[in-house]
Amino acid sequence: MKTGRLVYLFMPAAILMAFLYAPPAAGLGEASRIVYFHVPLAWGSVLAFAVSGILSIRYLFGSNGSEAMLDMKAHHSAGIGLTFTVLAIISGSIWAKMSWGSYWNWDPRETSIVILLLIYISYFALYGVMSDNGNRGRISSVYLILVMVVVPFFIFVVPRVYPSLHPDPIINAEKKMNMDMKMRMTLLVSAVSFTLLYVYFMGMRNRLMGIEKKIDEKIENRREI
Amino acid sequence: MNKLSMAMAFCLLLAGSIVPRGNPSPDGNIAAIAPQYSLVYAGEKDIPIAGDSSKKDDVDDVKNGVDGGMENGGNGGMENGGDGVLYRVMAIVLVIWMGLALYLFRMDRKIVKLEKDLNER
Repeated sequence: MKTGRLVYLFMPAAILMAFLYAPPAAGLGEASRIVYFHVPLAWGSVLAFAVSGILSIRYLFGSNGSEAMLDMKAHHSAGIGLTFTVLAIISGSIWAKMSWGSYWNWDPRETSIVILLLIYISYFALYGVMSDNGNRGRISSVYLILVMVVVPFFIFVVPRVYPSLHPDPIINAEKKMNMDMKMRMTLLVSAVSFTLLYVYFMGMRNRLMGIEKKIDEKIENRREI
Repeated sequence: MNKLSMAMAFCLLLAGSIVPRGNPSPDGNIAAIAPQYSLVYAGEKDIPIAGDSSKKDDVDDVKNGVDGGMENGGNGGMENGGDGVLYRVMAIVLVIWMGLALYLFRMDRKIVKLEKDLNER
């Protein structure tokens, strides 16, 4: 929770570094600065989806009593991941317009992110319609685990198999980072900032959930009295 | 939430069917028409510093409606941050962040207060 508050320091630093410290990229010019928001947003969404999958595994297979409410936490993480994904798509579309002349090109990476988005929208639809079902936690957790298995395929495999408008991945087949040192530093600070933002959001949502639970317990206790 | 999800899915499908595919390639190989670039510093000679308005062609392209100002190999008028565009964009991003940060900070304080109240009762 306290770690998340570091976002108040890191995010302004990342913004200032993106515009003032990092140099423009060859061929892309100043428009390349979107990379310091687009890539960390995509990273944040992958992180959030991975965490939701891990929490779901713990919910299904945990046996020491600590698994209570983990399905809710997984739900929160998936929600933040979905928000980050939508923002990554918006920032990517703006960049695509500037670089390729069109907001949407059905590039393999763009197509796979839309499929991923649809998969997670389906999860929220599934979660929403099962509000009265006692097995909601288990069913939604199974869904999130299955999705977690599929996510790497869409994010890391498909864009590398088919020809893409996107540049080589930052860490490519040569295992070499084709990036200027200042750019690398800025991207790192930005990635840390968005990770902290995710941690902060997640912490707040979980704390709100804890408050709700406590209020419910107090109401129950009063009824019993 | 499920209604919202369905609405989002519908909007996505609609957008997918409406948005035209950019840069069509005759043989369908999109890699062939991809611009050649990498995230490597262009060098001082190629990219003038922000605020330098000596390179106006891209800005003019945008004003004249030429496809994103890309026709001259530029970047939609942002090549040199002409007329301080770069600083304006940075200021807007900072203002958005400050608004979000203020909202988050206030919400955090309210949660802390709620937690304290609940623990005291």
